[in-house]
Amino acid sequence: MSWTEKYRPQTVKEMVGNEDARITFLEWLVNWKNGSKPVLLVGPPGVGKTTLVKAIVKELGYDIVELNASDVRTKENLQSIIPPLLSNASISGKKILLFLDEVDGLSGRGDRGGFATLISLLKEPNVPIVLAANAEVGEQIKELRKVSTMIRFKRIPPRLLLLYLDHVLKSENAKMSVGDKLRLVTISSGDVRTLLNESQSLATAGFSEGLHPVSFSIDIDKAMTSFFVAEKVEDALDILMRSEGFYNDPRFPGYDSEKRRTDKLAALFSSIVTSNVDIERLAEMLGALAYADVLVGQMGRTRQWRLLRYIDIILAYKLFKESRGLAYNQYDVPFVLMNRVFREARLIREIIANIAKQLHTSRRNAATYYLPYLLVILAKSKIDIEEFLEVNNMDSSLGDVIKNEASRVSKK
Amino acid sequence: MIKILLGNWFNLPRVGPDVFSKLMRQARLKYDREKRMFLVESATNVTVLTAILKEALKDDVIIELPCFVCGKSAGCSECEFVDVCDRTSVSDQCICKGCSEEDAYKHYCDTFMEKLAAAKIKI
Repeated sequence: MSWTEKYRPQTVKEMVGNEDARITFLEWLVNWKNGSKPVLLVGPPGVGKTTLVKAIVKELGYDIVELNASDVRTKENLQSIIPPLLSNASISGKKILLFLDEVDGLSGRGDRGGFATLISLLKEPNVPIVLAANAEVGEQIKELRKVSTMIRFKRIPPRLLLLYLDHVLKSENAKMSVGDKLRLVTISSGDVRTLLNESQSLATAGFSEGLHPVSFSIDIDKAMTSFFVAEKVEDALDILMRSEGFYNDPRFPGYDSEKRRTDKLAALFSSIVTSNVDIERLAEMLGALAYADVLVGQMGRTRQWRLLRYIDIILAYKLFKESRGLAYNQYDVPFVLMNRVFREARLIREIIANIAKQLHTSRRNAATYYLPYLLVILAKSKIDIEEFLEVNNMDSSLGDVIKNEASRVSKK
Repeated sequence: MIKILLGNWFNLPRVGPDVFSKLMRQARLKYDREKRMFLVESATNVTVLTAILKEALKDDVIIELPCFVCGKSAGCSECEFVDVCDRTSVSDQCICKGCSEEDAYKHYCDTFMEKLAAAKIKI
């Protein structure tokens, strides 16, 4: 179990740092009454905003409804989820607290009215509403501050981090040199989560990414090969996490071959599609990859890059069972096929542009609706292609491509 | 050198109306007219505060954190983390060397409960 979960404070007094902010938040919740303004917790990651909310609701007997604002960002989503929560009591009979995390992930235009809806929902709350954000700047935060009470959270001072680290090490009965402890506190930069992750790595595996960054990663070839032969899912996950590979941002596909090689999803995909496995296993594995690919795309669109770390976990657990015995294979499309794709695609685009111009339509419509019919007509009738090109002011070099495409269409 | 112990009222030499206005509006420092003293609050931007004072007084400004347990200065200038701790961006209280000895974490947690009781908050 990770130390960040194992040692997540269960009560507000067990936390370190931001003492005044914790007291202010407690004061707000203890004195909360219908119509009280929501509270906005602002501060960098890993300083205890979420931990504080979770600990306090437990101590004061609330049921917490936790939503990530960036997941429910549209007006429709917010209107369908939040108002019912505000009007209904918890089924356990406990009081409800609504916790909206990462509200700085909402943005004006991209959320299709989501932000304006959120502001209106916050004006007359009948349950305590807690908002959390990492950054204090931005138009959205400015608007949220008008309808809420802001409580600032800051990074934890190093000596308090050391105090907490000593407490955790004592509870784990783990030993660490004073030098390593000081270095871990220093690289954590006031972030308790980073401190615990790095400390656990150092105490249990003998290394820490922060302390030994160079020796940490494994070459993608070795990582993929090791991934497929790992005996335990935990080992497979560890290998993926330590791999020098990355997750390609699907919006920017123009990477060179070396960078494409280190794309973890591409490496897994090429290994899976070239393997000799039955169709059910193949479908299962490709389904897992497709799921991860969609998530990577969503993380890219919503700029939640820090969530990429969870892709390794998803892939390790979803692929582990079906992918035992596979081997790493870097799949290349045959040159003959690539040549045709590159050469003919350019010529077909030229034909589409010409059709679009003559029919006063978009290239997309020309490609989707007009080109297939044109090819069928050319294939079925006895129109001379050269004459057709000449009449339509198209280059004669396009003749071969049109003939090929028309004959393919006629065969179908 | 000007030492400011966060959470404690402090004096400043006369700074003139322009600088005073900057301290109030830009740094959001609190001022008590009767005591004629200043206080750094949670809303105060400590980075801006130190920049304004450095420029106005042409002197170094040292921010000291108070010890959460005993209330005295945490002794930042003698701390092992003095070079890496940005006291303008960390939370406003720390722990001094003396209070970091045996059972320090327990004392720290107990002190938090005492402060809650003092603020009349029951959980």
